[in-house]
Amino acid sequence: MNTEKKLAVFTAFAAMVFLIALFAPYLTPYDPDAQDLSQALMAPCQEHMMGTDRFGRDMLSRVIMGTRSSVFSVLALVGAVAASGTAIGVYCGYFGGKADTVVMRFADICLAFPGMVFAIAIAGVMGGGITNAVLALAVISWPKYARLARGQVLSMQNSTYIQAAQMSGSGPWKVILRHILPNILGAIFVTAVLDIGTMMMEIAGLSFLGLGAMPPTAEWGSMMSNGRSMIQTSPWVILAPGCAIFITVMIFNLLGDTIRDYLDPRRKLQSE
Amino acid sequence: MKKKRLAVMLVIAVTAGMLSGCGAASLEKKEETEKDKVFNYGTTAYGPEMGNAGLNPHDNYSGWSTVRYGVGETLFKFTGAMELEPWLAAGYEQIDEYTLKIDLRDDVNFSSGRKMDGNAVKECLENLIAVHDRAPGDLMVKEIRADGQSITIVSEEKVPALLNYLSDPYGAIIDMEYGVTKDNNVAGTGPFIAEKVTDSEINLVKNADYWGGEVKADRVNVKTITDGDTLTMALQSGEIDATQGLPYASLRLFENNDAFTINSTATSRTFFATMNYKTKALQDEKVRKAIAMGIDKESFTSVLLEGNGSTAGGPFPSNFTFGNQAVSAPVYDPEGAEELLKQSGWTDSNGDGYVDKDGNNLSIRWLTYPGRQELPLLAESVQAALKEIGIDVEINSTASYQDFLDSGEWDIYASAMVTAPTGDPAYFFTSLTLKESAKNRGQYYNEELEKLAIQLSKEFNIAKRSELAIAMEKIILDDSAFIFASHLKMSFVMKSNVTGFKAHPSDYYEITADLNISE
Repeated sequence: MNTEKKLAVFTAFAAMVFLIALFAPYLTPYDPDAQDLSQALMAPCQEHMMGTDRFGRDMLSRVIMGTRSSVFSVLALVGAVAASGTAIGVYCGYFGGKADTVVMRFADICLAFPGMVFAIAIAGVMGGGITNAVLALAVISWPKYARLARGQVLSMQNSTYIQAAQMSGSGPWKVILRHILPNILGAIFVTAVLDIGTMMMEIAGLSFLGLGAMPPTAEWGSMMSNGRSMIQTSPWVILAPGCAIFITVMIFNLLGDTIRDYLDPRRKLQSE
Repeated sequence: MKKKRLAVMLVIAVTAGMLSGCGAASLEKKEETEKDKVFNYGTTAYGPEMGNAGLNPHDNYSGWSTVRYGVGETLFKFTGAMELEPWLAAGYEQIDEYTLKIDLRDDVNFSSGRKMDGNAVKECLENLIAVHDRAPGDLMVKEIRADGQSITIVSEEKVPALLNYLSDPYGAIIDMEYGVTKDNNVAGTGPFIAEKVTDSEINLVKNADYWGGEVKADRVNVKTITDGDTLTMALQSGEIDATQGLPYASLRLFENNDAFTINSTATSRTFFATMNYKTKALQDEKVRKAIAMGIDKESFTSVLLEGNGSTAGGPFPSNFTFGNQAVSAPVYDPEGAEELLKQSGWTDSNGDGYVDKDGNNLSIRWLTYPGRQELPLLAESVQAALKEIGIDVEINSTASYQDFLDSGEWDIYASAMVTAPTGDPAYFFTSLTLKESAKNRGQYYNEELEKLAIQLSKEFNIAKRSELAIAMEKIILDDSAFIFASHLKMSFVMKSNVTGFKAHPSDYYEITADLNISE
């Protein structure tokens, strides 16, 4: 399959996940939070295709609803860190000076910590909740984008077209917005798409540890955590959200890889 | 050239030394493993989260660890029927209502080598009442006199349940001359001596000079495994020989399995919720009652606990004369609960599914902790049940629950407690419900209850004590100051070659001299 076809397929899959997340409340066969203890731990059957959990809640409904919290939170997270990290990186790269030194040393400090451990510490201090989990991951994730953007800016700062723009009287912000940003956005975008899968795993990880979504929010990580004691006796309780995470992360990772291949200049040269 | 030779010789010498060291160490370890009967015990019930880390019985709930793991013993102990019998004591005499003389066994030594006599016990009890949070209020000691192998305790006030309180694990007798080490180790009188104590593990060796007969196991390693699934797999893989605190879903894996044995007993460990009287909405008795009526305790016990417990009415299980059968708690009645809320002015005026008053939804911050697997389940079950009657429950299940308790950021606190650890009802009331109670977290106060507590504290007649306890239970239930959800059935699961490891209704005694592992 060539890159264009792969891109179309994976974009379609990603769009499908997004649409499921968007219309989740209309797609669930049952109320995902409604408990019915008389139906607890039912194995997958016609009535409940993915079975029920220990509270008698329909697993399919919760997995569908979980798409919403998982996908939206990860998109918010990736969007926020990509935007803030890029803005900081571009500013530091273009203007340099003391601000650059201070911010980059701070970024070094953030990068020096093992990311997930740092996020657990932050989420632990701030308390549980999906918002706090997103904030915790945002705090550890922005330096990557800042470093990438700064590096790109530094490498193109001495380019003739930048110098020409500066000599023709363009101010720094005009140069940044019209000449620098459009040229670095491709790399940022690929990194962001590739990060979706990783971030999804990290949010699910925090929820699994009890530092993310709080009950009764249907979130894949917390659903897996709640079901782990039943992996040997009622495996569907953990397999359903586990498979959802696996499939979604795989889709976004493959999409990221394909976008990277698609935007790779060597591919264009080869095709020419 | 000389230097090179020297370097080569040094390398050879160091390498040989290292190899011989390894060989000796592994040989020694192997010998020890082959010879010794080692019992590896995994538990969810030890550690800082439980307030029982370390073995110093005079600190918080650490006495439970001292007694549970066979390091320390109390003067009296409970039988399976929760009746008292002498343990380190040989007998006692109630001289008058304020004076109790206890004769001590003459054949007991501490693991430090010191003989346990009246002076040693006096020193230990005096330290206990000087530093412990609950003991001084329970024991009300005015004076302790030692005379050879006996002590005489003079109380400031009448303390009818003094023997019971002395049987609380905080009453474990330790050698105060040996003291408490930096790692919270102590010299007790039990069948085992701790070699190493950390917040997550205790390594014990048998006390060869144990006064109570031969100690059958040579070594015991108590390991904290807070995750129930890890615990399950550790038992399945053989990493541990026995456990308590398995998830209910996992118990099924060991039932009707020849390789494992399950030993269960009903306990007075109760899962209950405490109302915070500082919360404005909960100052309304009707709101508290509505919450009590909105919780489906029966389903929680039968489905979520998978029958490993009994539905609670009051704080005590039915095997006590002052237990559940003697009181009536609000029953599950969502319609009645809605009606009560309505009477208090809480109605769903904006149609968002939650009742509101003065523009504010009735929202409850439900604080609990994950250390007891039942509590998050109770929280989620309550959240769904109360949503049905229009109350929004925001769950905060955190290991750092104490911080939230201290800061007052909670409305209802759900916890687990052994309500009658001393077999006597007074413990529960004095610990939790009175104005001066050390753990009256919700700031509950009822004048009538305080009066009855004073009567209870002076009443020696057991039948009358039961009557008073029932009256007190009725008050706290009528006030809906507490909601009692369920009493725990405790289960020990062990490999089938383990004997002498039995669950006790008091939840105090686990590792004993009878513990044995057959080949």
